[in-house]
Amino acid sequence: MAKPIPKVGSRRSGRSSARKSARRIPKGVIHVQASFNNTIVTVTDVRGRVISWSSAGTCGFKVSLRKKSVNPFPLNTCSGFCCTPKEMVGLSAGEKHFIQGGIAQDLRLDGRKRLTYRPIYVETGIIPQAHGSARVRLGATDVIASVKAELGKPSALQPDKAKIAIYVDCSPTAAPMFEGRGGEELSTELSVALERCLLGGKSGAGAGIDPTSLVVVEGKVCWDLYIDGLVISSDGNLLDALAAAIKAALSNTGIPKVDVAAEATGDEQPEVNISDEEFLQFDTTGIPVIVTLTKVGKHYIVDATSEEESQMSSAVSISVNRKGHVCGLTKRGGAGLDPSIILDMISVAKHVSEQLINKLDSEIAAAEASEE
Amino acid sequence: MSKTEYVSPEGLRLDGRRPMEMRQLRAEIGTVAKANGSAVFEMGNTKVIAAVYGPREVQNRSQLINDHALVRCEYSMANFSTGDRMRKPKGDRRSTEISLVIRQTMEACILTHLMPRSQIDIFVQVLQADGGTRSACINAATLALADAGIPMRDIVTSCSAGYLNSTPLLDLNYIEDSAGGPDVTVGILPKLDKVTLLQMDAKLPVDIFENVMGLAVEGCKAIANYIREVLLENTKQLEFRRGL
Repeated sequence: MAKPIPKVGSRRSGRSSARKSARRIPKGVIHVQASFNNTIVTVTDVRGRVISWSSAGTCGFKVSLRKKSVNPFPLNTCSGFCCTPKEMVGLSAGEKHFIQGGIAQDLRLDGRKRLTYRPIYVETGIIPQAHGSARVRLGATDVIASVKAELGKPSALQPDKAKIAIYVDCSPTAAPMFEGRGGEELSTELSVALERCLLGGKSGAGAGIDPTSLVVVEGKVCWDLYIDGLVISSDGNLLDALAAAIKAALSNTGIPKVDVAAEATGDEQPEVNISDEEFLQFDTTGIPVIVTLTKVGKHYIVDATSEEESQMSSAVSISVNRKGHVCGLTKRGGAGLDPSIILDMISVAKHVSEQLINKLDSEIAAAEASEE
Repeated sequence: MSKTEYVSPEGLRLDGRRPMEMRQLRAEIGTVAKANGSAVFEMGNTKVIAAVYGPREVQNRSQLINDHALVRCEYSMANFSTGDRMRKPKGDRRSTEISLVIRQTMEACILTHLMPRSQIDIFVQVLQADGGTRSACINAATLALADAGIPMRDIVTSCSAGYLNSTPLLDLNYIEDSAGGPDVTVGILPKLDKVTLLQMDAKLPVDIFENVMGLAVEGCKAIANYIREVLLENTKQLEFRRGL
């Protein structure tokens, strides 16, 4: 079962550790009994005599798999965002301590400081069938974003605004738990968070992409944008990677120029000619980046790996644009945060986002140059 | 002629290939860092990623098999993989069928009896579909399984061939695939010289079928050579990194 399997080394009871030194067993058998409710690991010698045992319950995992799906606070136990494969959650006590201690000393597992991103790699134009596409890699996290534009009709309520939608899909290649419908919850969570951070409110105010710029004829014809994200490999910090990929894909996007052939009267749809040669580029300078600050222990870190995400108490995702304005904010994770800490986090995120935007912009420019 | 010419009088196809020519192949091993084995395989514009997890503990106890490994496969297409954007790609009949085909093909070559009571998951994700996704997926899955170090009888390679304008064509692209002609997909074990997968739609006289199938088998062999080269190159790299 996908229940976290406690490492045998992390015995809690003094009983077994006292005996450990007394007997030395060159060969043994580890029996794992995993059910929906608990996982019990028993170490025996080759003849089946029990040497020691441990169970997930004694290690402090109290929520059963079954319960988790109906748990009203699913973020408490295993935050959806951190999509950490469950076997990752089963870090040994020593590993957990090592991660937390490292973060407290401003030196993380991979040698980064708390506020350093992993190197970011951008490739653009990887999906020729889309109007724009990009692949972003952040360490072992690997995401693809594509932009497709379709001619549509603006809604009657907002005739001067085009429809922009973001869909994220978690491929089972990223983790076996995304198989079938397993990735749906996380996909929806990511899509909604991205829409909130990048597209502004219902009115479209504060959006990174100006929905009025996509309208061809007011109330009649507009370009509907479909932004698709695909998670290929996940090692934490999916939201930041996806936002960066979407930004890169949009700056790679060329939308065909449309000429309105004849002005239609009344309710008729006007005829349009789609140009094959002229493309409109987006102004992507206003598109924000998302900086996720993950709180582990007393400190918070950016760009957490999945191991670090499994230790988080809460996380705040802040989207900041080039001007330093906060465009959207999502807090997740069970533990409460002091309001002053949130304000502190926002100012840190603002500072970090400057470097991130500059890095991303130069990577995008380099990717575009190498594509040509 | 009102019909579209799929082969011009000069003997060139719509994308400029000759009838017996394959699209450009490209493969890369180890693209998904977290998987036990992974590979990207491209045939022209068709691009797929395969990831293998396992052999590992069986997730669903009722599926446990006592004397050999359980092989599972899931095929999924990205929303942006096709020309028109797809709405809801998960779990339709086509992907279920392809998952099954890939699973059966790979199961035939994995030495499952060496890994009893365990499970091997193969996930293939289509990034771009331009005909021949089935073949590309099988080729990618082979590479990923090899990368994961799973014992196999032989590598499996697959290629498709068709028959249009009275010419046998190798490795159909999307336009040729949807032209309505026959489409023969073959999967072979190249060293053992055995066919493990054979699918065809539409009708075809027997003698022509033989030609078309022969062509597809030739294609499979060419792919097998390429895959072997890629694997060898990968092994050399690993060797180099270990300082041997």
